[in-house]
Amino acid sequence: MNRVKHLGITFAVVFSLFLIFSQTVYASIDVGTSEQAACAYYIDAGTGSIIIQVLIGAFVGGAALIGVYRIRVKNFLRNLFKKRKSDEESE
Amino acid sequence: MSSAQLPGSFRDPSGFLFQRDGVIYRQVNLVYRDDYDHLMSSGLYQVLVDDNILIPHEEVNIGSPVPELAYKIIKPEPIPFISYPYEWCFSQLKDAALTTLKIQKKALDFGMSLRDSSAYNIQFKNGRPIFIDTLSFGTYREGQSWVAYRQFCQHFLAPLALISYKDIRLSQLLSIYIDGLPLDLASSLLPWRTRLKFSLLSHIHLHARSQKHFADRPINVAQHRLSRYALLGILNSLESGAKRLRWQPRGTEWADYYQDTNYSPQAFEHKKTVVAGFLDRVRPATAWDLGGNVGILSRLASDRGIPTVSFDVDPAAVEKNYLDCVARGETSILPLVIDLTNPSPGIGWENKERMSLKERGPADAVLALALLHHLAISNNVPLSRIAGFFSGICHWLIVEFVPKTDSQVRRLLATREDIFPDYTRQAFEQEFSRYFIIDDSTDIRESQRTLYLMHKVQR
Repeated sequence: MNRVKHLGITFAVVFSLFLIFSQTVYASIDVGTSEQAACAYYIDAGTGSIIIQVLIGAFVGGAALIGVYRIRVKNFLRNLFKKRKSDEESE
Repeated sequence: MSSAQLPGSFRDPSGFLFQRDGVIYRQVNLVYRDDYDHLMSSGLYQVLVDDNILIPHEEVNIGSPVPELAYKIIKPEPIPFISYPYEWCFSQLKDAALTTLKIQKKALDFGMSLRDSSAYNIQFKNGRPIFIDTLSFGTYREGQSWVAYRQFCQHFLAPLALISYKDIRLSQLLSIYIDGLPLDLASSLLPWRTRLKFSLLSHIHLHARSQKHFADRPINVAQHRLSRYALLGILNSLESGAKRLRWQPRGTEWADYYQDTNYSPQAFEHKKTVVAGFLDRVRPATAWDLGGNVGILSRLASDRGIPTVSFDVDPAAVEKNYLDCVARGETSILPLVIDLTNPSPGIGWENKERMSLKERGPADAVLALALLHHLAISNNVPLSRIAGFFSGICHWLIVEFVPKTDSQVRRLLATREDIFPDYTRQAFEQEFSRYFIIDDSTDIRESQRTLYLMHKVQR
């Protein structure tokens, strides 16, 4: 029971983080509206394929977001410690 | 000075490939100028080239075949041998898929996105997959979905899943469906348990359902946003899904896979010495080893720095060969799956988009070792037709004649009537002499087989 509860909480946190941090920007797959666009998208993305990407993206985006921020935080901390160490050495 | 536009390069209005004086060039059209400049100036091109996953090119100052469209002409580094996804083993297709995803993720870091993810954009160079379509990169705008997502699923994920969960032979569907496997077909062929895997459930089964549901329903795609993180999540999901797919032939240990067991160790060593001696004598520029199995004899050529393609009909042997190449970091050998009794035809528009095997030749030298009896007896091809075929694909031929008294041939004849009275050494020499001049022949010790070195008669 506890395991289910934990999974539920994890999912809720991940999903909320995704909704909070993901930017509200809009797809611009306006094929054929300009010469540039016609060049950029010469294959058919497929309506069903676009919709399913949005749905899958809602599930997996949170994890990707956490992954990106985890690396950023890790790098930040690493740099912080490196800086402190080099400061101490120079003193 | 004549230029011919390559017949496989017509779909993308951003540019095209053409050949002049035997050299392949790519024209970058004016319509692709901004994207090309972004690719080159953003640092993406250099990062991918440094990582050996994008073909390097140089900009050249030569006349364009269609000057009114031209922005630039580039000269990509040549690929020694063009191969196609239906000729790759499982791990080659998987590595090609992972390379495509790696490139797409890297492109996003530089504000670009792949506009297509065709498996034909990948070739093998120096033993590893490399992306060859420099014009596939488009500017990424925040919020847009991946236009090549469906193509990726069709070209890579679906065939990999079918091979992994059903049968290696299903890879041949890629030669029928030139734009990848239809997802509804893949979904119906995959076992039900694949619905329990998130990547396959979402990217194949639900994707196929979504395609069907929205097939006749126009939507305003501008309303469907996909954040960068969502896109990254999809790419990660595709990547982990592809990485988890595995294939190994049932009941076979890779280490025991070499099947040519009717030689004594001394005979096999002698065979290797004779073939190596012929190769040193000829020093061919390129070699094809037909029926190369796991590539032991192909390596006699590739270890001498000769770019060698090692063909075999058995996908498991090719898989082992490729895995060995990767493990050893070999750069001169390319293992491929080819059925010589039905080699890859020209396919696609006008049968010209993808070349037949023969069109990709001739090789400077062909090795046909322990092969002749399979073609002549298992497939009933007359010796004269075998000689004719070989003369169309090589200048030099190193061929092994295996007589009827050999245990392998006896095994082939054990279950069928012997309708091959003309399968004799004398007839072999006679038929092959119509197309080749026999330079040398050596009997292999402790066996009844003979190795020949021949060169093609100039007509």
